[in-house]
Amino acid sequence: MPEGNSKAADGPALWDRARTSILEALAAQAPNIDEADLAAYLDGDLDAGACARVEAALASHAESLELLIAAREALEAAPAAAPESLVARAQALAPARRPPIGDWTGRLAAALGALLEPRRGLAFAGLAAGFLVVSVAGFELGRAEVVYSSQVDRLLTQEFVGLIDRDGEDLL
Amino acid sequence: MSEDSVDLKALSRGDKRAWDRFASRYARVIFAAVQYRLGRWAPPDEVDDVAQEVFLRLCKADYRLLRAYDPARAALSTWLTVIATSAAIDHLRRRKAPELALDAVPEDSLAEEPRLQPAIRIPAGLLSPRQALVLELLYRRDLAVADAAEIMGVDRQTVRSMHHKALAKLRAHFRADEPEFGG
Repeated sequence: MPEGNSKAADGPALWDRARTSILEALAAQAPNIDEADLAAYLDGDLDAGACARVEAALASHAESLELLIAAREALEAAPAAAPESLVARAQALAPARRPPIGDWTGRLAAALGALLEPRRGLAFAGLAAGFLVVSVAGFELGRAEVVYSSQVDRLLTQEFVGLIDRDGEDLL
Repeated sequence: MSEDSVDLKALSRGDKRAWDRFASRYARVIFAAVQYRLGRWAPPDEVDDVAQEVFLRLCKADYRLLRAYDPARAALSTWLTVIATSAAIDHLRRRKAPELALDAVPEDSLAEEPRLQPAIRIPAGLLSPRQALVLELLYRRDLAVADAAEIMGVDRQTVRSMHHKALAKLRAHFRADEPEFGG
């Protein structure tokens, strides 16, 4: 049959009369399909049952059919090179993550990278300064305690010696 | 991984280098699909923005969409083409359809068309899904047999065969149900 005569004269009328009822029945039996279903259909990797389910959904859901047609055309079209700016923008979407524990070079690089970021660097400097203040204060307090304790010890010792001098026999 | 030089498992664990490789490798697939749908005359910024939306969708919620990808079902480039095309279609719909308050819509445009003929009930299963899809593509979408075959991923003879069988079934049904139609 020549390509131009493939369609029947009564075809449009027949389909127009039957379409609503048939598509309603198909929609009832066909769940919505997703991008994965359409991709599998496009690649021709569906078994007969899955293919029938997808085709029922395509026939009864205009939006799914529109997406299939557009995706098929896009796959057939010549590929277009993506601008470098798009690649850079896409890559920037994913932040750098902490490397695995065993990777010490990765940790070092991550730590240096964190310091180079302005906000993180300031926060780190603030934390470090706070830690230094606490450390120095603790050291001074501890030193003062040691001095005080040694003074007390000296006084007690002197008193003890004085007691011995005063009344050595009774004490011992 | 066949065509993919990207480690999707590492990517979904948050490996930055894997994501960078993925973006570099598949940007052209996503960009090409978006550009094709938006049209060659679409402003470059618009194509870029829609393509970027696709990447956003892919890495959203800890790469949930990418983790759902099953390489056993379809090639990654095919799957990405479908997603990018879907994003482009959504973008076109948002651009074409500004929101209108219901009160701003004329009442007669909301009215239903009166039914001129009684509703026709076709027995379930009279046509197979494939036969229904063929008729929808040929008559509702007004596609040629070759185009319908390409969309369905079958050869032209299959489409012609489905078409012939479907119409034969419908003619037989209407002749039996509505003798006046058979003329």
